[in-house]
Amino acid sequence: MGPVVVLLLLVGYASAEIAPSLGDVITSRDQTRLRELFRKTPIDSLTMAYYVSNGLRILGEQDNSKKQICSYIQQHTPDSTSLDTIFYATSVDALYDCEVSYSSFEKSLKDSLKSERNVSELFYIVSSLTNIGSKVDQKLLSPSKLLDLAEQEESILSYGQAFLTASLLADGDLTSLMDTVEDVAVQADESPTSIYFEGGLETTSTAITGIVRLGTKTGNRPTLSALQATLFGKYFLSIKYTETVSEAWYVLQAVEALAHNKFFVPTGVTLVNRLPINIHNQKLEVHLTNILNEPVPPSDIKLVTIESSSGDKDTINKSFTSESDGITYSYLLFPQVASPGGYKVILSTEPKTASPVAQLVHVELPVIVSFSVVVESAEISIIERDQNVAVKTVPLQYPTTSQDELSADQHSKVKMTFHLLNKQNKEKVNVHQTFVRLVSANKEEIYFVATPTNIGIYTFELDLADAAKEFFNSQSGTYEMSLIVGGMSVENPFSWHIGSLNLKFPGTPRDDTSEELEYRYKPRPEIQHLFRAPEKRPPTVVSFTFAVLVMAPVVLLVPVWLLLGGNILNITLSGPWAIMFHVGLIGIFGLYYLFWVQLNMFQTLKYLIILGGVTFISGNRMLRQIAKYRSA
Amino acid sequence: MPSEGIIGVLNDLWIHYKDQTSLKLKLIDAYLGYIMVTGIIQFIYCCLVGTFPFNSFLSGFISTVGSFVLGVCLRIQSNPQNRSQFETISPERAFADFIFAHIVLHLVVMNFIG
Repeated sequence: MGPVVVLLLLVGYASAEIAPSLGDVITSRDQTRLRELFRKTPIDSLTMAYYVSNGLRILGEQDNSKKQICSYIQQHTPDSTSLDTIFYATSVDALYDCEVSYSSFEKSLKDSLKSERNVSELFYIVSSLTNIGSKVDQKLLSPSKLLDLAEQEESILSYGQAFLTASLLADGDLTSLMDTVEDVAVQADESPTSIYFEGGLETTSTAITGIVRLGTKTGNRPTLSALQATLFGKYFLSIKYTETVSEAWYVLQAVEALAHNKFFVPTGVTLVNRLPINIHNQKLEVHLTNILNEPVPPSDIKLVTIESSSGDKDTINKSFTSESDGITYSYLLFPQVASPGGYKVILSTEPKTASPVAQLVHVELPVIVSFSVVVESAEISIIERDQNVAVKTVPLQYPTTSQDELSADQHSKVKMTFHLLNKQNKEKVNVHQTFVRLVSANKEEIYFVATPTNIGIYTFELDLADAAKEFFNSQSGTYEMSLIVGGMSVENPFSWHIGSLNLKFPGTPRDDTSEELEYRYKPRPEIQHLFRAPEKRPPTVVSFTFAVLVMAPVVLLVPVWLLLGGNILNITLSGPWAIMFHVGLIGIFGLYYLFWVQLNMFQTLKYLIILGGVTFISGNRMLRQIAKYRSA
Repeated sequence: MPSEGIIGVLNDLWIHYKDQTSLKLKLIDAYLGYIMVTGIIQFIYCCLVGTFPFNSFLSGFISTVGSFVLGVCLRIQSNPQNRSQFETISPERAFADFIFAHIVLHLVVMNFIG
């Protein structure tokens, strides 16, 4: 997406807005599937009646379900306290004209406009009134009130509903609402391929539909670029496979708005089919449509470049031919591009007349050019291992199976060579898959690969002495040999039964032991999760003993001090400060003990500041007194 | 007489120490001895049972080592024979430094002990 944005900035086309291709659309298959989804849904609520009726309308089919839905809404009157049910019922009636009258709700709806309502309720009220044919003018509700409410509610869904409601009002100045479109649009979240609003499908669908309806009502282009419209379109396309009716409805509602507006119509170039191009299928066909698979005004589609898988680029710059159905464009690719392989074609579209349809400058589509492969000059030989002399050589003819009996044992090598050619131009080619398959009498298969020594010239060599144990389990017998050829560009992949090989190995085949069979074919033993074993701790006795031992020396220290003649009694001589100092100090260490067991650092520091201050001051005074006492 | 040589020297050292060292310094020496014994016991325990939990061992051991170092500092600064080197630091000031450093050391030790 990044390069596309840069492209848009660099190339400022004034005529049509540039946007990327949608890459995918609601195809006719998708529309059939969605029609089935709506048709199969039981109509068991007014909500469902609304979704199904309007969904089928967008899909171009409404008459089939009309009777069923009409009978439902005739039998179920909406709950006058639930504004949404009134909205659903009146919408269905406005669409189908089911001979039900909802004019009894008109007065209560208009009255409810007088009290405080949120945007969602206003949307239901105004839509219902419009559905029953009653005009709502700005005396009842002004667009600026809607904008204020949406700004207060601060949700994109509210803005979307405000846009929808405002576009239904009979009059009023909508410029301030139009001005907010740009700010609303930038709030979209980005995904690797699309943009969408954080609220999800309902929010994004309501917002986009609201923006389009607002523009249609005012006749002015809302500030949403073609790029943004396309990226929103891609978001809706990512949900098109839903099996939920409400989601399908929201997707269709938004997609219809994007397809049927006069401002920004996202367009998509899609391949008609994925068939490879070759001599039987020479035309590359694409569809150019809007998001609902409908035709867009005629455009000039150019094939700009063809890029091969090896990176070679060919600039073509020729136009596609438009077909009569209005959406298909074709280009005769073969034999201009005849070399088999995978390609990337790059297209550009330009609308021939001014239209809201975007201009696509860089559309990449994958194309495969395929060919038919033939095998020629195939032969198989049994070679004497020691002397490297071919003992027997048998020519092979594709696709027939050779009837020759070929035998080999551990003294020989089996060698097969063949050429692969493009059927059309007889050039030698390499393909992706060349397998040699050997099947034993017990239906055991062994696969080998034939490798090319030169382009198109393949060899397969099997040294039986080496391969005996590893591949064949020393199992002698007759093996059926086949050559399997295939590849991405190969139109006619085949498996060619070449013939039978009689192989003789020394030794006996080794059967799987019962243990191996157990291991391979029976459930494995359950692995019990081992929680991490806690670290080994010493026994409590030991650690307790040492705890006591560590604290023991204090018991020795005090007597030693006393013995030496320390004067504990002299404390009082130093005055009250000394006592306070000692108390403070003991308090600090008590605080430290509390810190260890209970407090956290912040609390400790808090108390420490208080205690420390006391201790410091008293200690200071005490020492001063001692100093005075000493020098006196 | 070899035994008399070493033992005699030690004996003389001990008598000299008892007589010449002031009471204050002897008290500090006793304290240092106590700290050292505590540290040794901790170390023996660690050797016996391993270093788990390592933080607790470290905090305990560093507590003893730190206290020992601070004690030595206090002893050096309190010794009147060293007065010439420490003119500005009175013994009281040395003691105040000692206490303050201990408070900080033990805060850290208690934080680390886990």
